[in-house]
Amino acid sequence: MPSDAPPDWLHQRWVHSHEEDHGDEMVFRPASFPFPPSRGRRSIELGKDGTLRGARPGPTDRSEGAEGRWQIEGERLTLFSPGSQSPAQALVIVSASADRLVLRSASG
Amino acid sequence: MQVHYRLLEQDPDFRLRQAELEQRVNERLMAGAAGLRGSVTTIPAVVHVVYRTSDEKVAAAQVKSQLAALNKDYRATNPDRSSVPPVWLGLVTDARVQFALATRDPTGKKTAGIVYVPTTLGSFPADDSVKAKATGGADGWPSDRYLNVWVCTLADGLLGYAQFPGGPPKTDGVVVLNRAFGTTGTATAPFDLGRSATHEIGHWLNLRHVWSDTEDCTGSDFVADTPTQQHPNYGQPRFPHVSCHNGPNGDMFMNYMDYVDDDAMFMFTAQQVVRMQASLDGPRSSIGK
Repeated sequence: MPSDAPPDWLHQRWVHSHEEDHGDEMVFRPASFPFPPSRGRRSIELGKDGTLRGARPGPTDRSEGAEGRWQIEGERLTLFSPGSQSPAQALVIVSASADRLVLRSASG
Repeated sequence: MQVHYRLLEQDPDFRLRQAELEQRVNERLMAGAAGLRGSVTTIPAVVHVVYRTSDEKVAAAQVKSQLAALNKDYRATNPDRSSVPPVWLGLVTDARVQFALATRDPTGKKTAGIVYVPTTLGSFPADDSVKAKATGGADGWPSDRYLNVWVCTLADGLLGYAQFPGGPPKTDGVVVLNRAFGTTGTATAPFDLGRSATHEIGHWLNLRHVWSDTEDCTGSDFVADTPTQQHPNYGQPRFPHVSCHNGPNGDMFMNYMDYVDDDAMFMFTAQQVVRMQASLDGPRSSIGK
């Protein structure tokens, strides 16, 4: 991932394709991907203006959303909760293409 | 704000009932009390099969296979409980709950406990629309007397969703994807052992996810006999899977309240059963006997 402006295809909703995870690497696919059934999936939408729309399974399995901000520096993707200056999640971009985004936790 | 907590904000009575129930659970856990119910509670269930295609019209045999699976899981007679790691075998607990298809409808007429309702909709999002005729689904039966189970095609590949005790009566019950319902017919691996309904009814009886719906190790599922766990587990994890410094045994991913495949979940714990029984003595006291 280049450190200058991210490519346009990054600005879409990425859904966790947990069946494809390997070790500590998490695989995300575009929302249009033909996912098999699941008890619930996390998703992140990286808006071009830096806004983040996240969703994850809630306490009774319905998807529940939250908004925030995101930032890329080099290989590092940082997600912030609304109004917070400290990262909610620090991730490393292992690989990225228009149909597959692989992330792992920066602390892992 | 999350849907569940928004619902609590919008419905102050739901918040009050949830708080009262937590108080009841805590008293039970402190006292080690077994609860007010007799040995086993039988809960009458009505299954609303909402269908557009013939495949979605789940056969009675498939519905019955789901009831049979539930009755094994909730009585801890499921044969695969022997796959629980030895360190947790002693925690495997009979929930003292069983389920039977309703034999009388709300007006007292005989029924098979299965209602077939045609729809024109290809799928339902997880927004309660399947729970009302006005939105293309099926109206529930009175939730103080029946467990409502809606079986349909859900949008986005979701396997099911539920509602905690004390919530709005009209939407009370569980929703399960038709292809993940029961153990025969259209039930499809890896969700063909009926465990989606086991999981959703766990929520209906007030159980939380074992990862506490937080992913920073700070949350609680309000029971002390499940380890703190960071994330949902998927698929078929290998024991041990350590997170949140919970080694050496790691996550209790074989608990029905994790997100693993049907053939990888086998148990409720003793304190989860206390929570379920407390809900049956509290907001669900009018249902079953």
